[in-house]
Amino acid sequence: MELLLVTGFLGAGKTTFLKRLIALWKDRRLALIVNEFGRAGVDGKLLQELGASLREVTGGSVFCSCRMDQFEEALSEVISENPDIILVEASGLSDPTAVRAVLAGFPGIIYKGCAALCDAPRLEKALATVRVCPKQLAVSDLILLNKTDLVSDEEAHRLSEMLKVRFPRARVEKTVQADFDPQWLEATQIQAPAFASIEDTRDVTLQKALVRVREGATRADCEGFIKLVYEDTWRVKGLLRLAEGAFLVDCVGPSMSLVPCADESAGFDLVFLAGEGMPLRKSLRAAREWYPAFAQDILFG
Amino acid sequence: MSNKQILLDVLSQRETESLPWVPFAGVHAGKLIGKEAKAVLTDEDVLFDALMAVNRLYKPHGQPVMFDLQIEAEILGCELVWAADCPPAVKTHPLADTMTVPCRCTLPKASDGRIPLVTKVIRRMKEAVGEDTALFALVCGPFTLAAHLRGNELFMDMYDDEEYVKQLLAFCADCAKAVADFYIEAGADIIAAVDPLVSQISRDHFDEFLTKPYSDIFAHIREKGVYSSFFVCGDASRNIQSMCLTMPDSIFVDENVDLSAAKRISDRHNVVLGGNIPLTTVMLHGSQQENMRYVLDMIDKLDNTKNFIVAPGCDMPYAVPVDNGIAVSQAVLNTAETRRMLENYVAVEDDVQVDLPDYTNLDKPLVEVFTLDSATCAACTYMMAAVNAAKVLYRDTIDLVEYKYTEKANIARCKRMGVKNLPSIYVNGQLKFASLIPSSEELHRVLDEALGGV
Repeated sequence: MELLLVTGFLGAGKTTFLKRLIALWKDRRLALIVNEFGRAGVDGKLLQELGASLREVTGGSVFCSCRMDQFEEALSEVISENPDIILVEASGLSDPTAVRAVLAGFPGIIYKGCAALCDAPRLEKALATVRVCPKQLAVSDLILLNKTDLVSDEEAHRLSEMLKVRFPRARVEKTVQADFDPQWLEATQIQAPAFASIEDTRDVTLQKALVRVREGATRADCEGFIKLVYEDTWRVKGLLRLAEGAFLVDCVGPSMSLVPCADESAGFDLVFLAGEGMPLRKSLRAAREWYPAFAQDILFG
Repeated sequence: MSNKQILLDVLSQRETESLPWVPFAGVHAGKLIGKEAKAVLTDEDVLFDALMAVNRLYKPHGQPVMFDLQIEAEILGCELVWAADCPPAVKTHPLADTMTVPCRCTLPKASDGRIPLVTKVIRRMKEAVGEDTALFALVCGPFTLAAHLRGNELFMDMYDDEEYVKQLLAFCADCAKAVADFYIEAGADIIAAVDPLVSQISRDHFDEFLTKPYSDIFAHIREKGVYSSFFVCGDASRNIQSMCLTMPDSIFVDENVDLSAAKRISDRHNVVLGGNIPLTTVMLHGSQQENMRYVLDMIDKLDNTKNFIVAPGCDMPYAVPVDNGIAVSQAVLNTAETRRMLENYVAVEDDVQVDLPDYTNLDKPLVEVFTLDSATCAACTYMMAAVNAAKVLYRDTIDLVEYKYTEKANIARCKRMGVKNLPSIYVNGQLKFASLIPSSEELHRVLDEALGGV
């Protein structure tokens, strides 16, 4: 049983994309879980004709990523119907990392990846105002830059390049009316080519900072510190010696990876890279107030 | 000192001998009396009975009267979709296609929507438990209310038309103040502005759009002479400092926030912090031991326990097992004893052997009550009282024994019997009642059946 997660801010074309997927997979048994009242919802009749089932996760608590029990329940019900593929449309305001955490409890599901829809004319506004928007993109495997017919070719190219730099693990494609090539879906769950390091990018606007970590700092403090800052970065990296051992820290935007490693060269420097206009300094100073036992010094480059 | 006074002392930044606890039992209160969410949120008697059950079983220092952020939105024209086990969701947004600010003449009146229901229940609760329990009345925070009215377009508006957003938020703040006044008039001790969407915006946007409306709301509540709270859910870590600067008396956060680190920030501003027992992983799916353990660990991790209130991260899921609520209550109200219980729980793994009765060859029905401790746990006290009352009636025709979880041998017995919920009543080795206190009729029926079978 496969599962594909679909995210994107309201109005980015998620429903159109879902309808295309439903048509594409008309010969497979489909189940849909949606958790938002869209203005133009998926047509229940169409689903019925195709033999697909639809479940809405509703309730006043859908804003809360800590209230994933409703999603868990819907998923359990859907699984009992034994569909071939489950499509999950995450609300425009839901944190997909929470959805992924729930999936970990269902080992029978093969996670096919996450597709994110972006509305080209409003992409930068959404990135600037909705905190969860960059989070959704950071965990996506396929990003569809949709509605490119509403911006110039140059603007579509600029936005596409920006997405590739900020979210290097995803495949980025330009679309109109969410019209996609099914082959792109096969590419989900395949890691993007080795990341060309941002620091090699010749960009005078790039901001850098180095955090000197205290000896004896814990993994929990490290994660807490990075969580307070990573939304204002493009990348965080370092080979750290923490109280629990050595860890390779590598975060791309608002997604975090701390992997234990046996590297003898692990030390106490953590590098933060951010783009123009991102409040990196302010965030680092605030994070230091939260976790004084973690950061000894902050040096801005 | 009453539970209520302990909570109010904490909100006044005074040192207290024990920690207060506030179970956010909204729709979950309905589960305690077998009623669905909609009944709890729309029927005065059901709501009152459900809140009284919360008060009896969880022995709170404070409790919310109604946990529904859609009351104001409903009055202002949002269509709601109701569910059996959670609060309603907003389905339509009246300002979705019109970038306007509603006239102040549309602000809720005391007789509008479900406000009379809330004010009546505040009065009844005040009369019934107001001496010992502080009452929280919740108003919808301006940002969430603005999103209810305008939909997700609100986020784009923050980019496109800042002035419009500020005007809409000012209207929503006026709405919160108006509704707060009705609740204060009815007797609420604490007004909580609940704004889950605050965690969705950046610190800069908070400062630009929300500092003023929130400062106004909390100043207004202060002038009225009651305490204030700011509830948020999601990862609001980056906004905690800005939230403190709006000067609420307290802030409540959920599991997404590192509580001990956040408390360093809130302490600096002398704002009380509350939270943050995980709703799903611990309260809904955890065992009683895990719930007690979580509370103790949470308390132990704090640099200090001044200015702190134990609470779930947010509105408790409907289906939280009652015994988990009881376990949390026990851990807060009897911390030292709970610590010993958990130590014993680990210790009895190997070294305590117990023999169970031969349940198939009893002379008379054997009633076994497994409790955390009927002397300290409220739910256990009520359950034990119900059984003791039956014992008076049934006299020597039945045997009765209480096993308190405070003793190692009893923990071993619970493990051997497979007792999962405390308190529980077993008759002849069979589980008959778990967590909820049976009525005398229910209990008598079970005992009569047992007598017939012996």
